[in-house]
Amino acid sequence: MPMKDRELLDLFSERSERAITETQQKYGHLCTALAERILGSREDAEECVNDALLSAWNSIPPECPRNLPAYLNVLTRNIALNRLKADNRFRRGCGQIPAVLDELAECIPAAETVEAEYDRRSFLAALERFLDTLPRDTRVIFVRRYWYMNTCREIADAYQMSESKVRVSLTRTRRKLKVFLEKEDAL
Amino acid sequence: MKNTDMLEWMNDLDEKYLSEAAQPVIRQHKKPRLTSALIAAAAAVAVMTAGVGAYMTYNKQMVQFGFGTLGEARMAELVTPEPVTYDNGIMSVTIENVLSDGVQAMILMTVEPVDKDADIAMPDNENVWLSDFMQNEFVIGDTVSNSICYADFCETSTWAEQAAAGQRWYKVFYTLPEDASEDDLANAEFNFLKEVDETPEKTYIKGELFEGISVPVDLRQNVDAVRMQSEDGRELTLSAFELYEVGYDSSDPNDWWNLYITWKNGETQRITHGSIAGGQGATVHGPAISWGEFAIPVNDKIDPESVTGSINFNGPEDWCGILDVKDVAAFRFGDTVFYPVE
Repeated sequence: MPMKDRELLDLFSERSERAITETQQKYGHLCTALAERILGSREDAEECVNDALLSAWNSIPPECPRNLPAYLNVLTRNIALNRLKADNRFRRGCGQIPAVLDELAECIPAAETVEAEYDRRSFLAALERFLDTLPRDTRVIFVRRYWYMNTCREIADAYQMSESKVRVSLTRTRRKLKVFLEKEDAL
Repeated sequence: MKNTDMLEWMNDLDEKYLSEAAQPVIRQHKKPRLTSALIAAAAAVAVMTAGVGAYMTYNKQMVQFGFGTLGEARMAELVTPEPVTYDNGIMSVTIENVLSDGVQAMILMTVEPVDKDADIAMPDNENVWLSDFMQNEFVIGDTVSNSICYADFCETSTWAEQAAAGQRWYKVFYTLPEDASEDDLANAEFNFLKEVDETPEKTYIKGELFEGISVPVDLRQNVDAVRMQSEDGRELTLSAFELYEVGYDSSDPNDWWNLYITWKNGETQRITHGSIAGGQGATVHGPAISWGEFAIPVNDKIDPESVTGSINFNGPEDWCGILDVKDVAAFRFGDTVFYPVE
């Protein structure tokens, strides 16, 4: 029986090595799947997840994630993307990265002024405002694709909808995002 | 900001979005609403003749739909008009063209069922499918994958390969009104692909419906389209259909795009227009024109001497309502005049 997240966090706080093994047992497969979608390699993904668990060990405490799986996924995603960058594979891509990058390219505002170029903070803030405008299903599909790097097939299966519906949802959302960012950029 | 930036920066997305997305949604399948119509309509599916458009009237407003290779004489044949209905009313369709270098014409068509007892559906802000489609300005790209927005489900590699082989594909997208059931959407795995080769009688329709119920129509049927011919023997089909979204209207008398219609009552009407959105087969805002076979770079003038194929007007609902192409006595574009073929 998997431990509850609260119990896992307690293990981290107690500096019990069981924290790693129990967390791996409960969430390892999720993180590995995410990493594999990014890195395109099971072996690389497992290494990445090991690094993510080590990162969790080093950060908890003082971090006390409210949502442990989300926290682990964030660590995993970050490590996986950094690994791609370090290996100069970011643009050549692995896994879902090439397709995702191509799709995200459609969202880039047409013109960013020198004064109003997006940075990390402003983009995130705008993106979250945008996501809040979306119906739940649409938002979920978007996040599953561009954060979790799920394929359209995986999203369709998870939500029991047609793959074509997922694709068009993403297409429309990307278009809307671009318009949204352009309008925000103009403000 | 680059796409790689977006991808990285998204890592800091608030966890509430991550948690929400991590929860699976269980959908309840509902019984299809249009099953009887599907069965009835499926029986009506026939092998299309290439390039034939289908049109219908609805409440005396012309609604045109159809697809086919534009510009070739054999593609401009008319057939007996006959309305197409299904149990939810008359279907309205608009056509857009997807362009590709080296390919004569590739057309995407959206079909949207409308309630026969209602006015023709005007897409609202939520129902962006049709309005987006109409507003899109397709540009000529090297491959179909450059077509706006729909590349990812157009199986572009297949289209490009087919285009390279000289085949022309038409893909039909059927959509449903906003109140479509989930099962309506779940049933939507039916693309209409029309393959046009040198022997139109071999043309066939395969089925795949994108996000909607397949409502096959006999696309040989035309309503309110007029076959016309110029004195030098060029042919075109003049038809009119409704544009739900109205673009802008250029009334510049010096605009090179001078189109005139002379009605059978002797009245001549100049058709104002907006700019060309794209080349071959592009649809234009305002009283919009889509052209036939030739490729026209964006913003270049159309040579009226090269006009053949189909010219379709779409405009605001009230504008098209008065454009009954059967009453057209002559259609002039530039110095070329087309007359109805008797």
